[in-house]
Amino acid sequence: MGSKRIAVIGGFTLDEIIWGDNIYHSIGGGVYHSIKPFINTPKYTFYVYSKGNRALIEKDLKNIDNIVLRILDDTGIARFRLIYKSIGQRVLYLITPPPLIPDSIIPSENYDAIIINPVYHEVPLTLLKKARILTPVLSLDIQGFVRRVLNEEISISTGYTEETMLYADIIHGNYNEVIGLYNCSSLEELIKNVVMKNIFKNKIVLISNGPDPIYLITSDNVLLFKPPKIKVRNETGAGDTFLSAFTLKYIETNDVEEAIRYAIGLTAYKISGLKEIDHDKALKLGNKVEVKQFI
Amino acid sequence: MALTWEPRWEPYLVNYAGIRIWTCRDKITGMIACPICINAAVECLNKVNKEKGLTGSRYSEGENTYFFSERDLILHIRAHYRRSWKRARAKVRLLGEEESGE
Repeated sequence: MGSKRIAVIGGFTLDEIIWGDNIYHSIGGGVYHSIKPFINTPKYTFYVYSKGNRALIEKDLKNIDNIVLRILDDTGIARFRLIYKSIGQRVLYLITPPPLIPDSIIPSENYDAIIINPVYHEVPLTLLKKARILTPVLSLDIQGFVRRVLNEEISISTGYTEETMLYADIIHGNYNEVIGLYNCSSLEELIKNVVMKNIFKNKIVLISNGPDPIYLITSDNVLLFKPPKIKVRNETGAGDTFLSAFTLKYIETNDVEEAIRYAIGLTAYKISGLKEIDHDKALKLGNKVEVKQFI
Repeated sequence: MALTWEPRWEPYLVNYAGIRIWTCRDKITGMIACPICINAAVECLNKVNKEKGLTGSRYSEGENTYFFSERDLILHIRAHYRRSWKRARAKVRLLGEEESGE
């Protein structure tokens, strides 16, 4: 069996991460954290479509066998400041927005899955439509579609157009992003509404929020998964890794529950700071996760 | 549950600069497909009976090509003419490489 072709679209970022008295800089962005745990995993070949400072982006990802970089060179790169207050509690500041990625960046080739993970409105609707037609499974992280900036601080815009969501099969967001998107006051209200109105028909919706339970919403069920308790060393990009791990396992097995267990296990390993991730151990850890039905 | 999204093709008449071509357009995204790349006759125009074993080229090895504008499609179709010339030149190169490698 050949390697699965996975396209990943979105902007890279240069992050300034502040945790207590510690400040460090790192390459980041949804795309980066989506592919990082799968470097040198030969069963997937990643085609990365982005725009930004190519030299900076290629520094970490050049000459890796299973990554094909297609970066439109641009002098700019998105810059973020992330200030962590505690686990799962951070304030995001946008210093420089990312350059817009044109739809012409992606050639008309077919992919087993496409993951779209923008950081701040750099993926236009035309690119989303083009991606839609090239794959049977399109995953979307809503973060880069619902963010807005007020005095450099990032918050969530409410009542954002839902058209973006129409094209996706798998949707991921955190509590605030999803509540903001559907203009609800709480997650419970949102779930009751979406289940009743069948908004997410034929879609898989994943809602995560740091150490809090993860919601898995499908057409006929809502399940809650409790993430394992682990020592967190760096939680930046946890949601991005979670979405890509879920997507990759899902296209392999077609099993939603196995995919989410694997994604939870893999994300736990990533944020605990392990450099080498054992994918079998990740699934074993995920299999221990408690699950219950949402009532 | 399994996700198996497929384009929902509808017949579409391209009418650009005096050129009229029937092809397929996706109902969801509105993208126009190249009739040669996707084999539009089979895929949505019902010109060929699928029972004869002929199918469109979706998810095959070749490149499928989709466009937002009719102009881009026409330019792409013109490029099909040049492709055969490119392939011929590539063959010559491959033969040359084999000879030099011996």
